[in-house]
Amino acid sequence: MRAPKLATQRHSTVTMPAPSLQAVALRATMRNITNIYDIADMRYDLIKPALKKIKNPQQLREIETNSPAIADQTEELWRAFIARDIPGWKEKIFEPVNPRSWWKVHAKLMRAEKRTQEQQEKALELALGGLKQEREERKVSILEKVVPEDRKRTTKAPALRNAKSGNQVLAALRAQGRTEARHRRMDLGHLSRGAVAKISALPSAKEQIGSAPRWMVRDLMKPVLMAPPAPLFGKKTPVTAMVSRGGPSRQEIALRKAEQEAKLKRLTQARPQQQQQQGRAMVGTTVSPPPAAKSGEAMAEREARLKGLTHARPPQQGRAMVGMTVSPPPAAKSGEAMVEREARLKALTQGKARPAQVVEARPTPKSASPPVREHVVAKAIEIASPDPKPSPVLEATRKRLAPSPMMPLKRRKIM
Amino acid sequence: MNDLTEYVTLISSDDFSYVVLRSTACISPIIRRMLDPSNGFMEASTNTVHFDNINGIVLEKVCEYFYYNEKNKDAKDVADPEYASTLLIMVRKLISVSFPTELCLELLMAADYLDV
Repeated sequence: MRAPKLATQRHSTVTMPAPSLQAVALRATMRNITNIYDIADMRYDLIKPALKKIKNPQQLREIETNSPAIADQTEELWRAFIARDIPGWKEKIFEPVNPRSWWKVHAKLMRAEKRTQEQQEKALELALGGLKQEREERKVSILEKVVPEDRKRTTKAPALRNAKSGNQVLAALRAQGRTEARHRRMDLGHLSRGAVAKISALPSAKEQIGSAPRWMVRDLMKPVLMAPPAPLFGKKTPVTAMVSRGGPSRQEIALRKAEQEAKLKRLTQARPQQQQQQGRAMVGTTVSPPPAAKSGEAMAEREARLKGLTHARPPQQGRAMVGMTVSPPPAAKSGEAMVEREARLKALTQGKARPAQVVEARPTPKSASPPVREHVVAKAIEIASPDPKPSPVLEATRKRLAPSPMMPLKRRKIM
Repeated sequence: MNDLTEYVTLISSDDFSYVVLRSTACISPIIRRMLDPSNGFMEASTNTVHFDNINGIVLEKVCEYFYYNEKNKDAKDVADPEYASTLLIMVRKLISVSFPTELCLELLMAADYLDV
């Protein structure tokens, strides 16, 4: 039965046979096929045109399930589905054992197709991802914030006379102000942060010194001679004097000088300067020639120094006494030594000058060690506590130092 | 009883009766055979046909189609605008959107049964 055509569509006058009811109904069914899920016992050939209109294989499967009569004959429908959904179906298609299972064929092929598609997608993703990564790496991104520059690396401000632009002038002035401020801070005794860190890292001076340096001890162990106080800075400088070698031995020199001094003292005994004599006598009694080998000039100098020290404390005789009591005589005591010591003790306690007697009966160098010892201990005690009147030498050295102990003498950058 | 009535009665499964012209009903060969007295069917004597498998709504549509068809048969000239319009209306009515889905299936079945 031909479908009815509208009169307006045709020019010729041809009878239009009325459409059969089947056709009409079929046409209606085809239009509403999406709503159909059950055909009941309708013949397959009746609704075949309508079933062909089915888009979803699932619907067809549903119809098949609800109306099993149809299921046997739906092969062509399923073939159509396979051809539509699966690319390369001609190679893949296979006939099922049971003609009712055409839907299974379709399902199987669909699953395989899905798997291959997924694999292809993954491969594509990997490829694209690699490309993406490369693109990201090569991408140049604009940073809003630049890495901050190192402050230390800033260019130095030019000197004021070299400044060419206003900004440079300002920078130079600022630099000047900074340096001046730094100098002012240094004057006050403030240190830069770096200097403080470095100084604090150093071991403190107090921890270092445990005992007097050996040279000092040796120095003090050498006795001061009886010779008259030589000028502090004689013709010969102390250094040259120490360096000179040869000639008579030092002990001999010391002896000679001691004799000279004794003579002078005898001459000057009559003078009313008793205190001076006392001081000198004290010096003479307590001191003995140094055991170590040294030139006479150096000894004279040391003697002068010691005299200066002892001058300051005539009333502090107790100290010497203390020193004497502390020091035990190591060497074997000869009769002379004992006599001498007794004499010395008397002189000290009584405050009278008996230097010549004592000095003339000069004992052996060995026995001289006790007085040396005493003297050394006295000196050690003296070192421990500073004197109220320091020697001129010491004073001179102290003045050289800057007001603060850590202050550098010369203005230079403390790194 | 050779006198054939002009109208016949078509009764649906749910007891809806439709009185239609014999000529229109006889478009369907099945009904014509049933109503033919020479075949000896009971329906011929009563001039009523009972359809157990067709419900009232579908039968109504069928009767409508009977009339539409008869009209179409009569018209031989398409150019007749009246007929054409009539045809269109009829077709539109039958194939209208308001056609319920279940109906179309059943109609199809009925049409197949009646071979219309």
